[in-house]
Amino acid sequence: MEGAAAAGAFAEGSYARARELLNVLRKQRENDPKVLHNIAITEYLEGGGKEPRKLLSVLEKLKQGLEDAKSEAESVEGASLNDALSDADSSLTAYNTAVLQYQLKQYALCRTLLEDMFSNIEPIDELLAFKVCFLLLDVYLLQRQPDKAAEVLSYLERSYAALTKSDGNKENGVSDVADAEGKGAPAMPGEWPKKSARRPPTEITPEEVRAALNLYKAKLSLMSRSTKSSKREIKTALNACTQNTTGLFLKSNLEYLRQNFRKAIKLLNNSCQKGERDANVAALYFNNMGCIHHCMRRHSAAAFYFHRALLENHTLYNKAAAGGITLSTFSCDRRCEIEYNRALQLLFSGRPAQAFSGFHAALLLFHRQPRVWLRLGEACVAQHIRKQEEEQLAKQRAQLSPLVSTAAGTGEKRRLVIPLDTDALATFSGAEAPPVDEVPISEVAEPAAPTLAFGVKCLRNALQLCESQLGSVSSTDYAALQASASQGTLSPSEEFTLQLHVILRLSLLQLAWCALEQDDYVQALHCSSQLLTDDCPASLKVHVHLYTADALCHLNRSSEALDHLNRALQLGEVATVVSCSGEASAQEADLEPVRNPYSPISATRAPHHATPRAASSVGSRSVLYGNLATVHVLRNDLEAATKYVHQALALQPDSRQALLCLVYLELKAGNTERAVAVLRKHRAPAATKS
Amino acid sequence: MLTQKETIALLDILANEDKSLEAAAATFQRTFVRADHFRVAAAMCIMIDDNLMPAMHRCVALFIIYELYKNEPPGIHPFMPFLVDLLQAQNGSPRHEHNLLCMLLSPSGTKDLPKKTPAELVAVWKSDGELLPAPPLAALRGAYAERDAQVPEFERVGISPLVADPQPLDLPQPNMSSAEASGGLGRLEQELGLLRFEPQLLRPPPPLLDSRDDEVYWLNPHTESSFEVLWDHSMCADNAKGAEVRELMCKAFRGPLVPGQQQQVLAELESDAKLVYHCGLTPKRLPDLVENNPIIAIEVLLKLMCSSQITDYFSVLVNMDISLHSMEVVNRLTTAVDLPTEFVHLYISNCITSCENIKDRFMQNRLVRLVCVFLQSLIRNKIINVQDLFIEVQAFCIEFSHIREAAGLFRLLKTLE
Repeated sequence: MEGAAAAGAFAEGSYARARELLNVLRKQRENDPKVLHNIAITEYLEGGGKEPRKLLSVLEKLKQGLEDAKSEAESVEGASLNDALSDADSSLTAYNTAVLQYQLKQYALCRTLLEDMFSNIEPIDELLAFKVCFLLLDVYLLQRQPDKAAEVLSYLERSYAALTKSDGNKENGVSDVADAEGKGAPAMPGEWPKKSARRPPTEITPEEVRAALNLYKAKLSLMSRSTKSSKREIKTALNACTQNTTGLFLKSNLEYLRQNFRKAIKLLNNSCQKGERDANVAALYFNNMGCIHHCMRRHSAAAFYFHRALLENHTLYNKAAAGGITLSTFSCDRRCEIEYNRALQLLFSGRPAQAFSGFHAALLLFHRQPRVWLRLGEACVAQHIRKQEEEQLAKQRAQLSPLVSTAAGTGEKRRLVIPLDTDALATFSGAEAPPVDEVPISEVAEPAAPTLAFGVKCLRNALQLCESQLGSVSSTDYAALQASASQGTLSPSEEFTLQLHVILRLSLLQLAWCALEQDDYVQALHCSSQLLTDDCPASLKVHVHLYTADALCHLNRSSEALDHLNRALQLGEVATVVSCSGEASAQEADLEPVRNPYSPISATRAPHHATPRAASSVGSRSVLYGNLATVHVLRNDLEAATKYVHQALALQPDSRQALLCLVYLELKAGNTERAVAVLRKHRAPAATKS
Repeated sequence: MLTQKETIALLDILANEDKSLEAAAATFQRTFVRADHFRVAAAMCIMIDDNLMPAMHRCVALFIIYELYKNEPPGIHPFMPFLVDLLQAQNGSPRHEHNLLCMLLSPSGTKDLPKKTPAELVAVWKSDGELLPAPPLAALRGAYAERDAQVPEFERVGISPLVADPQPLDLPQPNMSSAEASGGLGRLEQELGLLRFEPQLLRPPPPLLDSRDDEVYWLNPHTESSFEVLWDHSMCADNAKGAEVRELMCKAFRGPLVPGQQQQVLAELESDAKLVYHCGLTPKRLPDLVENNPIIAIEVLLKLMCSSQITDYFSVLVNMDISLHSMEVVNRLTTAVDLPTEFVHLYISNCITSCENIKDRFMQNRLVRLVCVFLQSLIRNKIINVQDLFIEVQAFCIEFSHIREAAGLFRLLKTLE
């Protein structure tokens, strides 16, 4: 009696009453784990869901107790068993534990637990099994595991069909043939067929299962869109979903993925209704608007939307936080995702310092993803470049011209002073950064700042994560993956693996660059030669050869450097942005390619109003010729050096490096007048030039 | 590089044209402490290089530079490359300087050179005077080449960052305010040093990872079936039947149930698909159940077929003692469901081994008969492919050919061949 009454009170939300009834029950049935379980649940909800950890520990104890009782029952032959304990079934306890972990965003723990349950799902009550599977599906979708999700979904389909089919056979007396005919639209039973008098530990109606099935089908096909699951299939699944905010969001998601941005925006605008279950809809709306603008390459606009989304999210969270944070509020808080989204826009629109702090905030949730660490490294590198540029600019502003630092003396004894590299000055004054190797990686005390040293740590993390994650997947052959990528036959999981490969190589490349900047040429050579032996995307190869040559020159091996530069010259262009499949990002017809705001190459002013791509090609060749000239100087082959300098200048007449190299060569040859002429010609003050 | 005071002191020394070179060098050593020698000498090099010294001064300076380290071998003398390069580059420069350098660098030594004053030198080696032969520069080069190779390539190729740009005095400086000029001079002091000008390598930064559509997180609202902690509705549920079945199963492990009880268990199992998982059966207890209640065992195993635990039950079944009941159970299973082939093969092998190992003659005959009937049934029902086990089964038949059923099985095998 009390049991039913307590359940009723619980369902109505009168937790205090439910608790009173349960306490009566507790006296009658001492140590009944189910009563204890319900008491714990009730107390948790009565407290507003603010103490999930406490509930978790109670659940853990209950589960342990049940398992102990079970193993005891098994070991004692034929002993008469305690009735309450022998009925032990810890699956609901486990499910509730998983729900709490899910809401706490501890997805890895949650996934392990649920996978454990799924691997032995038969003993679990069918209705609870549905819930377990749905939760597992959600976790798989969050972790982008479409293959595993498909497995769970197909089990669900079978299980649902089995449950509803036997109903049709028994109650309606429909034969198998008729059932097969009516398969297109199976009649949805309002109630589950009564399979037993046993009361299931949970309730879920067939409609709910059907609706959730459709929803997950739609989500899954959206996620694995690359496998060419047809648009119609997705639409059918979507139309089967109920037309509420979730449905409209998914439809908008589909249009977004199909790059029908206007339609996606329209659907989003229609979707916002009040009184949703997810109170954070406003933040989600702005976030998704940001996503759409991101895909349109409008990074500043996207950053604005993500900023709004963050504000909405904060408002909601702060309002709720006033009286202690409830778990449901916490699970609705999407700060990390939105922070990441915004930081990405900031990175692409040339605000690396802000991007850095955004990525850093997102680490809370995404610290297992190598891409976040790579982005952090990129932000650090970008910020470093920014700083260098600023310093250079400040220096140039005080100079007579980009090529002449100052003039000294007057009349006959007048001298022009050629500006010298600041790095060299720093090295001489002993202000050298400590070698990277001496800084332990695990050191966390150091505050995060977008410095080169911190960036190196981030990049190493990315490398580490890539390596460990690649170690656990089966199809790891990079060349094979690339081949099937070019044919467009990648499965979602293969695509993920390919992406890991690219992130790994980019991280190495970034590390090589950082090492060069930190004058750690041995380390730089180590990184770049690893890239040379590995199968490396063609678009990265030029960089790899450039950095290898750079490191070799500083290690007094300029003869080897020549070889690398010549090979780079044959490869052609320096990509400033590399796509996830490892190719230089393709130009889509109506979309502007992503610009790398930190690369001097993409900023090259192209002659004759050429496309940005042609400009970057000109810029990169000029860099290669310029560096070839320098290496020939090191080789003491001044004739060849002069040839290359002129080639570099033909491509990019205002390249400072090439001009200085030319001046050097003229001076070396004793042609002081010609050197002075070059210096004079480019004496226009830096400020008016740009 | 030099303070004003140092510069004045240095100029004083250099300007003393009437003193001998030796005396000038001695004054230099007195004026500057040893630690400063290198720096001041380097400064003089720069001044010579940059043509900032009158001819007389140059002579003194060159001598001092040489004299400072003359006790070192030519491979160690820090300014040897400078002196050698200067001599090499001499063309059109005053003869006295050429001759001075030749004497300084000649292996035969400087003779009475230190005693002379710069003025005397200029007078002796007039522009049309005798031209001393150049010392073996290649040998000198060889002496320091090895040490030179240890200098980084970039530093080795460096040249002075000063470029002569003579301008008529009366021309005003274009575009240069006095503030700029003074700032420039301040910086000049910082920058001018031992630093050299050499061409640089460009180092374009690595490419950014392009961002695809799926890098940004598209967020969907939490669904309607959002996940919440659940109340256990089975609390206090009437579970008498379940308890009863468990009780009966407990009995069934210990001994045969009466038909009524057996029917009850079977009916309850039939009415609740999940009950089989909660009736107290474990793989460990399966042999007892098989021996005591084969009918129940068969039903239970059939219900467990789709469970992930079924392999555990199979492995127990394979390894339990061969008996009529176990064979009955396996036989029923083979007709009802598709058993894994390895399982069936393993079971047959076990049967044969058991027959061979049994000591009791009577029991052996009985068991062999049973196995033969079992095998015939398997073959007739096409449960097993006889070819897979042909040799083993044939050997078995021959070993026990005195038993009628074995002979029959043998004949069956022959017909299938």
